[in-house]
Amino acid sequence: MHEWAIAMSVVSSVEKWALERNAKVKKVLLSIPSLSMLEVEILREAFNVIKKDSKIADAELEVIVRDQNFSCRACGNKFTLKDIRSQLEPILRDFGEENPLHVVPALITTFAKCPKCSSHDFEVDSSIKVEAVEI
Amino acid sequence: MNPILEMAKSRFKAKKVIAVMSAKGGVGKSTIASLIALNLSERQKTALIDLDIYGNSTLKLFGINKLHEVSKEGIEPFLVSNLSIYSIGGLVGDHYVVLPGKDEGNVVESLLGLANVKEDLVVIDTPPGMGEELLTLSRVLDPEIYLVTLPSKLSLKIVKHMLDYLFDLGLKPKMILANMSFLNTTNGRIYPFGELEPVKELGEEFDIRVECLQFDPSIEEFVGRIQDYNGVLKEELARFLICKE
Repeated sequence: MHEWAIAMSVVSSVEKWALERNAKVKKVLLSIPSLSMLEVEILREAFNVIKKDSKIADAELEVIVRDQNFSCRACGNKFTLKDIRSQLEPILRDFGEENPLHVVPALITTFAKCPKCSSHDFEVDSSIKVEAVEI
Repeated sequence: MNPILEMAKSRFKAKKVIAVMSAKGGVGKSTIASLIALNLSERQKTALIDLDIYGNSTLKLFGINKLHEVSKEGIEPFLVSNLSIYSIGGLVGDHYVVLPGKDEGNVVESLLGLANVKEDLVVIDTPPGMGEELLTLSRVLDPEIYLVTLPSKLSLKIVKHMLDYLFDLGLKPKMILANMSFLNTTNGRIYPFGELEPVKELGEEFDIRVECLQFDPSIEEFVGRIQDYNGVLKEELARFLICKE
């Protein structure tokens, strides 16, 4: 549901960027982490509705869903979302659609551990970012 | 480009934000932040944001055991009369929070960016100390700071470091609130941490107003229902913070 809020943040920050440069935006490349479970179609639909009232009304949204590379700071183990998916099942079951990782992906270390040494101390890029703006 | 950070900045740009800070934990910061917010909400709609991501004391003080609703507009608040409350505890429920350094900042940024704050007046309960959350806060906001401390020697030494740090960031607190400074008893006034001169001198050194708050033991009875508390501490804060605004 909060895909709309994310889309709003993308439109307003790209619009601000474009106004500062007097640029006409053709495409926005948005990168999201797969662990956020954000719905790309809802993001795109929201972006297309919200952009109509902005200065980037002609911009197209392209979304890249990043697969995460996790790196444990305790034992050095490298792992992927697939390796910890079973740990996340209870969260998805107990919290439902608006689970904490969907809303704030940076909370991943709270709910998951390194599959090798069980440390919560691992690194992963869980940010939502505009990678590029095409003008 | 970080859209969530930009969203957070624009969301709070035109709002008055009061940040309640402390140099160390256990000084009553969350209680003071809650009472300030409750006082302000008696005059106008106010938001209270709990950024103390490990403590989450705010929800415990108010007796809130629910999860935030998340709508198209973002994270929706818990409503207590005229007060809208946001907390990371409302996302994780009764689960501990573990975050390596930079993720603390990301979580704070997300909460500030996605909280659907409509109120023009916002009180923020910040985590104790000078960690990543404080850096994030100063990236996003330009708050009016109330620094809570105990008038103990140890607390004041740490507060001095915090003041040096805040001044380096270009942030001068509006007030130092020396919590639990004295206790009124039938046998007269007791000063549990000794003389109040050191905290007053610290205020003079940094040219910051100091207010010494009394200790009200009855507040313990209101943990879980602080919205029902109308005791002397709330009255004192109302006098210091609202009447002189």
